[in-house]
Amino acid sequence: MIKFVVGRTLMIIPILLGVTFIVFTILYLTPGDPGRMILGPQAEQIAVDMLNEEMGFNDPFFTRFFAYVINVVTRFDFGTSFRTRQPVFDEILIRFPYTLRLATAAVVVASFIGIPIGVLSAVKQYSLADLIPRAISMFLAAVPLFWLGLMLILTFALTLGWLPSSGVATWRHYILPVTTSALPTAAGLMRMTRSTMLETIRQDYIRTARAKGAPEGRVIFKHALKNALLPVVTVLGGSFGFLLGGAIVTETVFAMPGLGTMMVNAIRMQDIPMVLAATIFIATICCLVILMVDLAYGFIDPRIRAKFLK
Amino acid sequence: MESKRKKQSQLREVWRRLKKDKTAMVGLFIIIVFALAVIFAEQISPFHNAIRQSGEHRLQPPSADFIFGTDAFGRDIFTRVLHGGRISLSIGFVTASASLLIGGLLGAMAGFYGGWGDEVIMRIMDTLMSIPSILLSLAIVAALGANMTNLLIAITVASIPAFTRLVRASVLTVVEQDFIEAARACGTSDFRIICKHILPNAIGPIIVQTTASVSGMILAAAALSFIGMGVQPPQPEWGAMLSEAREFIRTAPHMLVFPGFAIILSALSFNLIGDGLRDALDPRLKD
Repeated sequence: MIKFVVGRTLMIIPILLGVTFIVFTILYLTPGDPGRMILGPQAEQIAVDMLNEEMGFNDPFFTRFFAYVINVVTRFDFGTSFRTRQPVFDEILIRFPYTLRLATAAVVVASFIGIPIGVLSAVKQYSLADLIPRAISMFLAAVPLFWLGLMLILTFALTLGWLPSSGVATWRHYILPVTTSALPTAAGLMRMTRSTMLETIRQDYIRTARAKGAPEGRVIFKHALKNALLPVVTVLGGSFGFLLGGAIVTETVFAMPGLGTMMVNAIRMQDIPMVLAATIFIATICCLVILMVDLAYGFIDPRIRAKFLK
Repeated sequence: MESKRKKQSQLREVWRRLKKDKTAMVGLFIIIVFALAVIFAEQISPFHNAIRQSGEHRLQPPSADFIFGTDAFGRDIFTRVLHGGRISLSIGFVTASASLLIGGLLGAMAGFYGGWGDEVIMRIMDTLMSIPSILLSLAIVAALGANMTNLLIAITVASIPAFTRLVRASVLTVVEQDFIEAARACGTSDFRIICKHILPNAIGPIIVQTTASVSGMILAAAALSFIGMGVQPPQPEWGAMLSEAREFIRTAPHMLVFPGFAIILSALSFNLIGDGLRDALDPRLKD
């Protein structure tokens, strides 16, 4: 067991290094002179050159990359913002709670909607309780997140006046953004639960359970659901990452001060260290969540564990 | 000659099954209508209507003159949706084909040759996949600048890993079979084996994935343009139009409706066709 946990946890290091390398390389391609961006167009060329030299912007690519990784690992130093000249990590820590709250609430809401409906639609296959949720989920798979958000604002904030349309002051401000993020995820979870559930209830051991006279509710919830939910849990981990990414759009629609709006602003301002740090930070969180899901999976399912023990 | 006839009858069989699938046919119908509208957009309503501003016709709701209404600059929304479709649908097609081509090539090489090349390609793809795709696209746009070409690059790069994995998996199911061994024994070149023997036998899931991915790409392009990181105004892209419409959500909600419906209908149709194709190519998968 320890071997499994350690082995799986260590696997995350090369992935995170790879992620950092890819994002660093992409943003390295940004045209423009970092010293000029920090000091502005009026600054003397000599001051710009000196700043570039001092901050190491003239160093070769790999020197800069390794310096960055070492700073991140040893001091949590993700660089300094071009715009505010403050460490970008401080800003990320201020913004992240909003994004985390939004994504977590959305995953929870999506699971409570998607999984039960998926079970129902598999158990009552081809009935109205199957067809209507499937039609709705087909529709939700095609709706842009931001459009859904705008429509909810139009209906519940502007027309009915029940809920606020922007900001994060109270929990009521979170209702519309969470709904916006949760609905498409719920649709995906519903489809996934339905298909694994359909597969499971056709297995022999389910027929055995029924044959020995177990009540239908027990067969579905005790025998079938337990096994059917395993792949769904993996998908949940992935959708958390998707939601963190999607938060960029949701936050823009609802004017929430999270990581997403911070990133969009940073891109507009050409504040590259900010974009770099935010991207790496979110990708790291996604990897950690997937790691936790995998570990939990290993505890539940001995087959996964066995792969690491050979 | 014999094999050609067989191939044709296989295709005909798939088409026969697809024709029976009513929802897939609805999707196909909508896509054909959209495609025709977009191709003949210039004849239906010329482009200058989409960018000509008119102070007296600002923010008008739908009427006989402007069937979808007008926007904040008095531009005809119908024409803008029509010409926006040119951009949005082409983005979908171009990015889907480009990621299929690049991802397919990488995946086919990884699956066919195996070894360290396979390892390297797949580890890079794993790493790319652990970055949420919209973030990856956003980082690329941030580095290269927000315009249509960079949007295409950004969405393509973010979609390549999924195609590489899929094509590799499909190739692996075929590459171990005896007829490949036979082709090798006959001295057939690798290129010919991949193109003539492996790909035709592995093509089913690839077609399904490509069709369904077009909808994801249309949505991604719209989302990026909506947050101002894609197609720039005054170009009438659907996501960019919604971004402009947002400011007038109180006074002119009709500006939100039509570009939104255009996105939903086209994404939905590609999903429907994708599902239909999946069932038609492999009826066993149907539940």
